[in-house]
Amino acid sequence: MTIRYPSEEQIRASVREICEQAPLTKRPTIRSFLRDMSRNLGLRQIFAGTWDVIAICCTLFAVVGVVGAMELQTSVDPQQQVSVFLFAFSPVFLFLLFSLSVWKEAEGPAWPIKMTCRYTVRHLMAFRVFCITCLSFATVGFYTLVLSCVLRLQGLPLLCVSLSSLFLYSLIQIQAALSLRSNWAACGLLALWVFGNCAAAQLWPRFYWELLQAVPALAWVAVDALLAGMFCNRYGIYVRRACYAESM
Amino acid sequence: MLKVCDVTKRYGRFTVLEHIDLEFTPGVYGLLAPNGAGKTTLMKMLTTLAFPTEGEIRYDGVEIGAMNAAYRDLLGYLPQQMGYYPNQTPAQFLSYLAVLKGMEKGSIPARVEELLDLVGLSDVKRKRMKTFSGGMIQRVGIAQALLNDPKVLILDEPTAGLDPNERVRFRNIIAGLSKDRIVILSTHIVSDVESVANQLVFLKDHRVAGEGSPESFCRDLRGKIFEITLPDTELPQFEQAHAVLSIRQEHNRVHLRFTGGSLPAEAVPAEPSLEDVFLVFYR
Amino acid sequence: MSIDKEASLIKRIQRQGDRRAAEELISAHYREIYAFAFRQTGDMDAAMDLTQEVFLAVLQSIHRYDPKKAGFRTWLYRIASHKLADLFRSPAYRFRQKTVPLEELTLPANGSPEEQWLDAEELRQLQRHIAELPDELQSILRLRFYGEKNFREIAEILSLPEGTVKTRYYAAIRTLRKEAGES
Repeated sequence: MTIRYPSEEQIRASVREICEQAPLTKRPTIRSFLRDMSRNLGLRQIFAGTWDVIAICCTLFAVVGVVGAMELQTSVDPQQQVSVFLFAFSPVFLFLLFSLSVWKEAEGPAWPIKMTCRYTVRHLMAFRVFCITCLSFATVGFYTLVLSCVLRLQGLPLLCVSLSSLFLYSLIQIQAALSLRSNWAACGLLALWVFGNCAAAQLWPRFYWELLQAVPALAWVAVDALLAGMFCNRYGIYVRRACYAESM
Repeated sequence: MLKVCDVTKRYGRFTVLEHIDLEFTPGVYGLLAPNGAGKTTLMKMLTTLAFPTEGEIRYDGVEIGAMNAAYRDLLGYLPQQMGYYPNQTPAQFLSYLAVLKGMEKGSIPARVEELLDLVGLSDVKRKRMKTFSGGMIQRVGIAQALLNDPKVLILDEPTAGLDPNERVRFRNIIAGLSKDRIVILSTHIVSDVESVANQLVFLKDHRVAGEGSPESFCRDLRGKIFEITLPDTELPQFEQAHAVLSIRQEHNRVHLRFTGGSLPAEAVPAEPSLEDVFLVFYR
Repeated sequence: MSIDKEASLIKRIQRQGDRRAAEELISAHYREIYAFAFRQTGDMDAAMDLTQEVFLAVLQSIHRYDPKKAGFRTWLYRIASHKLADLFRSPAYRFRQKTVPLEELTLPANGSPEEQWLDAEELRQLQRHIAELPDELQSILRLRFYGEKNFREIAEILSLPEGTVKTRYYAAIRTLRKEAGES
């Protein structure tokens, strides 16, 4: 059959019209995602229902932090013990924040409804992960500095230890969230890491101390930079998965 | 047009739905099935809470998973268990969901007012939801499903927990929704959909057992439904030979509605109702 | 358009939502999809509308397109055949549907004896019945008749085994001929 084609001009006009109507969107980057979410939803709505979790975690962290500091005051070799303590204790805050928010959201009553909105629980979680990670760095950093001042220790090496520990943990966390099918499995694995570390630091403090001492300060910075880069890469994937509703 | 194309859903080895083919155009659909027939799974797949193991669900020719947020923008969903935050007021709850639905912030308060009015909750809009009855919560649920003026409205057991007055109100709301949207409501109570649905879908043994208008189902049964009054002593024997659809006790006699078997001389033909259709399907 | 060029255009659309790239990609495939639509409608306006709908659907779901799973043309036809089956059945389309000049239709040159059997009248009957068939069969028949695809290509487009496509195709032709004979 002979096909009557439209003119070139008509085709061009039609193509233009298609592209005008089509939802041509950029693939979300970390920056655009964070900007759009905070602009369109606002922090108050994104964190709705999780303020209590944050409050509980802050209280717990403060209590354990103060008790730990008091214990360490009487130690023989504070620099060593504080380092080991910080390495084990730093990720606890982020771990609690993450797993409690996962639990709160999964157990939350409106989960199915929120999964059928434009911004789903996945979007909310992706945004929260970024915020709680930042919050943890700030809190842990602040705590480390306060501790080093109170106990009159060298602050910089301690900061290296606590932040590196947190970098390492946050990378494991995001990787677990990406590769394990269920969030519960991820939380279980992370609990194993965090509490395993705490227990090991109690049992073999010398081993940890030697390990930490063996790493020169410059290496800490390099490792942190590498871990931060890897975290951003993983987090970018996490964001895209949330936006495109692919299976997590 | 929303289309379910040869969809099978399995959880591990357990098959919940098998080779489902359905087509929804604007109108009200009643999805009827006894509990456990895969009704809720189908609803979950239509709302992207679950994805088919095989086959595809497409809206206007595009797979709904690929449409992603564009599909969710068209969607209103009332799950079987309407979850809510007990300390919130209905107005707060609706506003929160409106934000998540990506509605323009300026338009939200007016829309919330309008919907609370529609479901008759205007006078309690500042009360916390923990003081609400099951029926009131369900009405909040219907209101939230309508927030974004959805083109596809999916209501899973929407009348559960409603009292008779509320059921009437609910039916009126559904009937009043404009004609240019697809409304799918699942239920195991026939009277819920009898007056509002213009198409019915029956699920049985993980498959679609029948679809069509309520009238067409009744028409198919015409001449096959009968009524008879018997002494109640004869009931067991009668039940063995016929499919009894309903029984009404009158003193020491029983008034029966039945189908199938040999026709006794005293039996009189009856006009089939949708209730009969349902009972014949799931006998 | 070269495969590389096409891949880079698709990447630009997926990553940056690049409108220029979208225009170029669509322009490259416009005539082909238009022809597929025109053969089924015989009407320029209707075919252009359909083509537009198809490409809108394409852009809507392009971020899900994965070159590792299917070639772009295959994927394009998959969307086109679903979209067209939907549109042909929608009430909005039906009332404005014009006559279809099926007499002019030529079947694929490598047509089977069964296909050669169909004369113009039978084809007209066929067209009427196609719209009533289940989606998948419709897609098979439409791709065969109007997309001029062979069974291997159809199998790829619809992600079905080639044997299945053939069996279903011939079964459909048989039923249609029987129905056409009865009506």
